[in-house]
Amino acid sequence: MTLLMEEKPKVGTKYVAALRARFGAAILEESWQAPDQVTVTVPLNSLPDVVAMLYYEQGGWLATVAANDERPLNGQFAIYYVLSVEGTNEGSQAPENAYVLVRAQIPPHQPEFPSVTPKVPAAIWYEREVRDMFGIQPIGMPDERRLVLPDDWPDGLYPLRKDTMDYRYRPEPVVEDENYEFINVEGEGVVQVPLGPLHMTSDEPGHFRLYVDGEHIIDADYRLFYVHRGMEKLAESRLNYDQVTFLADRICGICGYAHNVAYSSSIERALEIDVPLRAQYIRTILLEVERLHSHLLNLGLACHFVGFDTGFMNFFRVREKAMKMAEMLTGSRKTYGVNLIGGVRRDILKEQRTLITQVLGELKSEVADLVSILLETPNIVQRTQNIGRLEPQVARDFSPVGPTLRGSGFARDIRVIHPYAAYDRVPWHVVSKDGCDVLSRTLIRAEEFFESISLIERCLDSMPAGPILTEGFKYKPYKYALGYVEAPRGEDIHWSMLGDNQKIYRWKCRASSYNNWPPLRYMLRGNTISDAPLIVASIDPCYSCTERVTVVDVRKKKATIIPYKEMERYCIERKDSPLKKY
Amino acid sequence: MGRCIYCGRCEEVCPTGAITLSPDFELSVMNKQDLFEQADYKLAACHRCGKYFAPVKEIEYAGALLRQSDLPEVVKTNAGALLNICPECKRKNDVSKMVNLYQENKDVAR
Amino acid sequence: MLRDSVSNLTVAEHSKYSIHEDPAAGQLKAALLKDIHRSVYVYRVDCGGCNGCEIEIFAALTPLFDVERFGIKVVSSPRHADVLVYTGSMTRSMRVPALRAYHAAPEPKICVAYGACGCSGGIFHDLYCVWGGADKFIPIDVYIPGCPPTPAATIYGFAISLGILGQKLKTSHHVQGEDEHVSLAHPQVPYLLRVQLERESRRMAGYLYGKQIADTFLTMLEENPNQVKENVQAYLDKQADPRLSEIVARLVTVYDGYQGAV
Ligand code: SF4
Ligand code: SF4
Repeated sequence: MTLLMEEKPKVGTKYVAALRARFGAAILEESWQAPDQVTVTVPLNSLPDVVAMLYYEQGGWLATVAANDERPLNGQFAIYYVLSVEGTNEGSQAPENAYVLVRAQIPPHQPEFPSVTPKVPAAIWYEREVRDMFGIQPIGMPDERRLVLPDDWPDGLYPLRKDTMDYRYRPEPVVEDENYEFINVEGEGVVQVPLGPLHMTSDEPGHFRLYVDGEHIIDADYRLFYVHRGMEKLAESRLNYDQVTFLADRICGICGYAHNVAYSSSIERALEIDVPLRAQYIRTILLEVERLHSHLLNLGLACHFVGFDTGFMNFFRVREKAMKMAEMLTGSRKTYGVNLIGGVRRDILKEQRTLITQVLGELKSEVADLVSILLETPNIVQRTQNIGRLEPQVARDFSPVGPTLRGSGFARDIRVIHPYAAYDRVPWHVVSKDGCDVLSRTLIRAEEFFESISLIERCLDSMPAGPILTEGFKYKPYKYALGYVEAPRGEDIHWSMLGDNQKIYRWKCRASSYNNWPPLRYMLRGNTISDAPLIVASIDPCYSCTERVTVVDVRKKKATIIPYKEMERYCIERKDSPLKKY
Repeated sequence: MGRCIYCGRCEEVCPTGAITLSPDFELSVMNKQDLFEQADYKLAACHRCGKYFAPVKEIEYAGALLRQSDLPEVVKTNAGALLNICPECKRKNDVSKMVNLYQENKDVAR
Repeated sequence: MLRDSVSNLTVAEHSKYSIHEDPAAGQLKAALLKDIHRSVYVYRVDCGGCNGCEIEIFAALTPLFDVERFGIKVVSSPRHADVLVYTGSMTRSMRVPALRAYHAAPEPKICVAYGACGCSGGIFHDLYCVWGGADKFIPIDVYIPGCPPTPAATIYGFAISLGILGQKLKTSHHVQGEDEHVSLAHPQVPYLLRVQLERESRRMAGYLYGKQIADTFLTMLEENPNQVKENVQAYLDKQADPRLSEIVARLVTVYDGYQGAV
């Protein structure tokens, strides 16, 4: 494997050179984790400028931000801004895509760092999270509120610091009520509409607040992370590094396998394990199977929200075929648990192959019918075109991912930009649209569905021979690397650092929806509240994570709580506005 | 309890085939206790120090494996003699052997 | 058990607080079960899981499994509910909403802990931000374990909750008998050869299929060591699976290598 590393030329040297040219001595250190992964260490005060330059001048996208308590190692905290730097599309050179990690050390006696958010808005949630989990203050950060930790969590207790607490420590709740402060929108009369209670299809609890003037949304705010469980701490404590794959499956019930692959590949990259080709193909097939069921789910929801419930039920009916496929391949419908560090647990034999090919054929024709019915429904275009616009500039600033980004004209897909598994070995193409609206995002999912089917077919046809598992590799302490996967909703990025005791020292996983939430606010603005559920569903946030929505009416200065069911009904029927009743 | 995720990993990695997943399980219970099955096995005492150290079945299994192997007979008898001895006594045994060996070597060197 | 009685508690009491069911409510519940002939209303409370459970409940509602044909209907407010389904490992943030849902549902009600998380906290059971399962606060009547339970298991679980079906198994206690001994797999095959074959098979086909393929091979080896290659070939011809042939060919190589070494 070391041989292989030397053979591969480094990708991304030009970005480091550009940084050196601009910042000179401020680039303290440069270290390569993989041929296309480099960490540059900079002094704390250059952090915002370096990140901003990579982001805006070198075509960087913010993949994740990981803070790390490295005091036991070198006496400092560290923060890593992970950017996928893709160059500016000038000239006809081949694109040079690399992950550049900008690292800065933070002294423990003064736990603060200059916030990057004013320069690169995409960092906003990450920095709030760092403050919650590590107690490191982003200086100059506009938003002072908690993000991740519950309201009843005591101040000054930072779960991810190595020395604060055992992973099992459960402090007494400090307050009885949820006291999250929502943004104040000043102006003539405000009506708040909290969307509540749990809607039949909605899952993760979250609290939405819409600020409306009459029927028009002027702003929105949300409180999520009701389901924060403390996984990252768990991965560092109770589990061994090879058990975390099973935890990664349970980050999200829909794209769990994508997380699983992202985690496994980050470890494999850090330990320089060669995963057999056949295993890579099997992973690709399973990732696409997951995309099939996830996209069908979202298409079903899109039908539901425009009032086409027959389509909704039908999409869910055919979705069961995708679930069946997963069950045949992995033994499990949802949590595949099929990855091991170094390969996969199950091969695909003839029996499975025949069955899948058959199911794929059925899916293809049935979904083609359903999609054409959906598009012929007069309602659909009318309800989704130009609704929930995500302007390309906003998209650029916030680094959203997946169909949300591709619907705004960026043909950006990690499967192509940073190919992993077998995506660079079988032909396929990226789907993007430039309508910037709900319609584009929905159409992308429909087209990607068929793209996935042909990907699976091609992988099955060209499956290489050989083993599916590498065993007997060595665990090397304190190595770290990134793992990345284009999940159905966008890229999942995992940054893992190994410890010295068969465990993980630090694991930072970034789910795709995480990057899609902050720009949602801009998509909601200017639309009517009857479209809100539709817009939220169009980013497919591990689906409609809207427990409650508060609508704030700017003119009447009155907050009303509207049950989510009522909002949903209004979205579907578009008559009898719930606001009139209050 | 009720933490099993039905992943089947235990069956896969079980080297003795003792764990097998079967269709005979309960999908839903009114009483959490019904998710438990308890099994008691006899322990074996160490032939040297008399402490209980491992289930009888496990030792029997190790012995059977040893017999199944096609190792030379001497190895089998030597290893077989250690079967009923607890890890601690084994360690002591090893140490005293090493001391003896060292002594002998020293004697030879002289 | 009124809503106010919860909010009056001090913080410290609250976290240790779990609801005990009124005996009267128990009787009502028995009556309820008798009276439900047709339909029950179900309200789901997600207390912080991974969504896997939600989606499987949802799959149970959609046309293929269609619990509604049994009269089970999901409602959007706990006020209408006969059954509360708690999923997720009960995160800190969801404790208050979970209790609120409990008190909002009218008596008598049946509470179900759904999924490994709902039953015990699942993989998250002892983490700092979870309380480890719905039964830490809520009196649970029925547990449906699984991660996530399949839609079929979900329907079965509802049938148990409604007293339509009885449990198959109860808790059991096994004590080692006098003549209970271990048996070896493939006793005729030398141990080291067996291990080598099993390893190679696992490397090629993964744990489950690898074990099965190795078992088949070993059985043939035991049945007729002199004719094993012919028998294996006949078996492969019958299966006509190129991948299987590739794997078994590797096993034959391992076998030959071992014979050569001896
Ligand atoms: S390894 Fe076995 S006991 Fe453990 S969760 Fe998986 S199936 Fe259940
Ligand atoms: S039981 Fe499993 S599938 Fe259900 S919420 Fe918990 S982790 Fe997810």
